[in-house]
Amino acid sequence: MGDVYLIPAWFLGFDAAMNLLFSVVTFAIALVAHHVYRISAERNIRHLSAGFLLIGLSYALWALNHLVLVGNITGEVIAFSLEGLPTWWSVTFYLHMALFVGGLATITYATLKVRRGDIYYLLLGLSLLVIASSFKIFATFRIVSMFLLSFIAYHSYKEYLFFRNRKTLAVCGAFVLLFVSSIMLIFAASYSDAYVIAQLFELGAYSLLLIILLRNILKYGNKKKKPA
Amino acid sequence: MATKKRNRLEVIRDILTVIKQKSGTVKPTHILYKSNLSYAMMEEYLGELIEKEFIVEEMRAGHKKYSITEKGIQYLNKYRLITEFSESFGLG
Repeated sequence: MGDVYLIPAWFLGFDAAMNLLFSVVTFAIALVAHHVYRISAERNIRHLSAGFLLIGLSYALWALNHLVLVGNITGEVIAFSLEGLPTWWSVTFYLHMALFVGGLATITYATLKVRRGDIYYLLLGLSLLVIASSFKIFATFRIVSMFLLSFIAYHSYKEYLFFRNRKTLAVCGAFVLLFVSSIMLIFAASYSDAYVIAQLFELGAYSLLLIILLRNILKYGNKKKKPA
Repeated sequence: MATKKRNRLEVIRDILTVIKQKSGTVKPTHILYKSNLSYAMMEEYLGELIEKEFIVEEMRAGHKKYSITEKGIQYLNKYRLITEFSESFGLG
């Protein structure tokens, strides 16, 4: 099994900070979604909240993981591998993958708008099993993520065609950026610059999601419907 | 003239608005007449609204009546936030 991914040493601190930021944005989306669920009692919104919560936790772990290594690394490029690294690093890496894919599977389930626990079980189980049974865990993790992200982006685009809401199109754009980021991360196994580019795509995606979230809160958060 | 099909959240809003406009309590026939739904669909939605605690079913003088709850009123007040958030994330 080859290197998991390569990161330029100068980028390690930025990477930790960016992942912390992604974590904050996804936690904020999860919190607002939970608030909307409390008012609307819509199950798919609860699933959306849970999905973003899992993704937020995965980013927080990733940030913590890299934060610990800042200042302890020498050389221009760091080669992260599942072999030859401390156990705690491997454990947090596996947890990061499980939480991220779990979050994406939960969001995918929310978009299906069904009340079938067995479908969720199948979706989550298959996604995790494919990764766990692979010899190229990192690449398989990214491919599964790409597949789920492409489904969510396609679903958002279909919803945009129905509602013609520009915010839906922006969310679709954010998931497309995350999809491209996942492709770049596969190349990060050979090129360290690919990792930096991937993180910049993710930054674009979460900036878009944050803007949409803030627009929703500021415009409709405290507004009450006028009495009829 | 072509009309856009209402989605679930809009139907729920329409039913709750009908109840709220009639002093908060109405007969099912009034909901059927005002909400523009089939009887089967109306029954399905009323069941969902009871489960979500947006309305309560009461028997008054041998007749079924539905009353809107505080939770139902809160749904109407925050309707725009709910729909905009749901539509943004493709859950409309």
